[in-house]
Amino acid sequence: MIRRAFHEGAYGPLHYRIVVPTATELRPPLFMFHMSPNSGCIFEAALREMGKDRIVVAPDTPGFGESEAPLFPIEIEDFANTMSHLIDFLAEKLNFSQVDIMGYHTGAMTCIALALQRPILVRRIVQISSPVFTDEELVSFRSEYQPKEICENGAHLRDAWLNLLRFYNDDVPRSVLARNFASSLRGGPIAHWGHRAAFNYDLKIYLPKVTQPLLIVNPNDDLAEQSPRALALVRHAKIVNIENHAHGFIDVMPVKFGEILRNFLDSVP
Amino acid sequence: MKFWRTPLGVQRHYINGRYGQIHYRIAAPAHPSAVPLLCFHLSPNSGRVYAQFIAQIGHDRIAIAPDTPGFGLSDAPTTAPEISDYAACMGEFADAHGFTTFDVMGYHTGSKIALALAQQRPAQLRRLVLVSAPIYTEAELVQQYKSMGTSEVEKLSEDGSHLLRLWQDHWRWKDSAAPASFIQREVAEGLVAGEQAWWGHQAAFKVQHALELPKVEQPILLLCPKDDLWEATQRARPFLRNGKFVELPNYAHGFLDVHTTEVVDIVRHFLDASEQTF
Repeated sequence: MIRRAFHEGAYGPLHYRIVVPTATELRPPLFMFHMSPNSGCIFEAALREMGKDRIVVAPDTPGFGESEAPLFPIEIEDFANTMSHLIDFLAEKLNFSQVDIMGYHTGAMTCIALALQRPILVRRIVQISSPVFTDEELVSFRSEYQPKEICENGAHLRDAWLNLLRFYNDDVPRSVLARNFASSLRGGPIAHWGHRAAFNYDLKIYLPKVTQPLLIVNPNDDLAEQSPRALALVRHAKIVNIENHAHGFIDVMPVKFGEILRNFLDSVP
Repeated sequence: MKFWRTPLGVQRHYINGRYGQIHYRIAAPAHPSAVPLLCFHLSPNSGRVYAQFIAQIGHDRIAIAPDTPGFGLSDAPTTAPEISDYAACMGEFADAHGFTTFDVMGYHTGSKIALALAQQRPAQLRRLVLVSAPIYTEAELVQQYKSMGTSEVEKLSEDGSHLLRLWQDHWRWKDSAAPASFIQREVAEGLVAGEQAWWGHQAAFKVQHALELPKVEQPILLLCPKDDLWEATQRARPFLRNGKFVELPNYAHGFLDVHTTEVVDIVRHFLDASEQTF
């Protein structure tokens, strides 16, 4: 059962979803960091699936979902630091000493920063997309994700909806589209801060420093082209392509995705 | 960011309720000197609509704004509830906080929950503040059901036109001082309820103020802002058994955020008046 709670973080209340299974023999906990702009709700299917045999936690990044926003834009390292504090709080409460982490798009950046900040704490890493951008691509992405003006006739909402639909296939349930769209609005006026931080974090610099095993999950989305470039930068990395799915794939194939995760997270080193 | 940030002095928590977790916002002074106030929001929305209000009125009393089951962050029931179910859940919420006596404030659908709770807990519920209490004609009720009270209204449109309609409905009835960023918040807050967003309205339309208002003996302050229920609420005056009717012709949706101090003064004056006033 997914429960929700608040933790007092550096920027105010930090909201998170958590599953604590009743079984006694558990795998290492898995912390999941969402994309921008969205919230931990996008991991609900993964929380249920992976929560069968491990503690699973999906926080809302500061300023997104129901987590309080910082007073000014922060960087990926700050997101990672915030997650680090949450992990320490729960580690003491639930008695664990190591975690696996998974991040989706912006969350994938947070994973790398956290893995570098806490090399003993973080055991294994899953990145859903590991975009290594060229300079030209970065200019283009930064331009696309500038903050959008609010239109008095609501056209900005319609445009945001149409933009969201671009990244979802027809097999994604309408309830998931509705949920993810609603969640995407909750960053409010600072919704662009997540992308800003992500585009400031150069994986070309940080990926080579990662020592933990890394799995890159590569759905067929807007970062499908950039993610395979990460393999050459990391010592212990492999990639799994999700070729027929884009955003929402976790909701469409939760059991299969669970197999992919368990094959990696639970394999003998 | 005013409409998005949690005001100083307001905390956010979860508590277990009959349908799962209930999320709420609370302002609690160290030494309360007045009766606690529970605030029930409109549909589809959440307790966030009261965040600024409880931050101010919470200076001298515990002020709590829960998210009704199925809205905001509160777990939804498995089937569409009735107003009496929402009220019972809120009564249990008050019990869980140890309130033996409390006041309530309800906004639109929240007004019906407040009235139902007043009848379920006559010894505990002291005074009511209602924001709107529409008395509908038969034709108006049919129209309300059609426009808000069925699942048809929640169907997503591929072209996003459902969002244009939603935005423009909010814009039409907003307070003149409420900016576009407020509407953005309200739309976002309403969309959280997803495909059950209509459950609040469908419960509300089954309960008629014309029948319920006269049943309530506790003092009622009925506020009538100039929103989508202005005209229908005007008809409620003769149904108040023990209450005051206050028109707010210069206020509309958003008034709790943009005229907070004034509204707090009005509400506090009513809640703190001596018993002899009523």
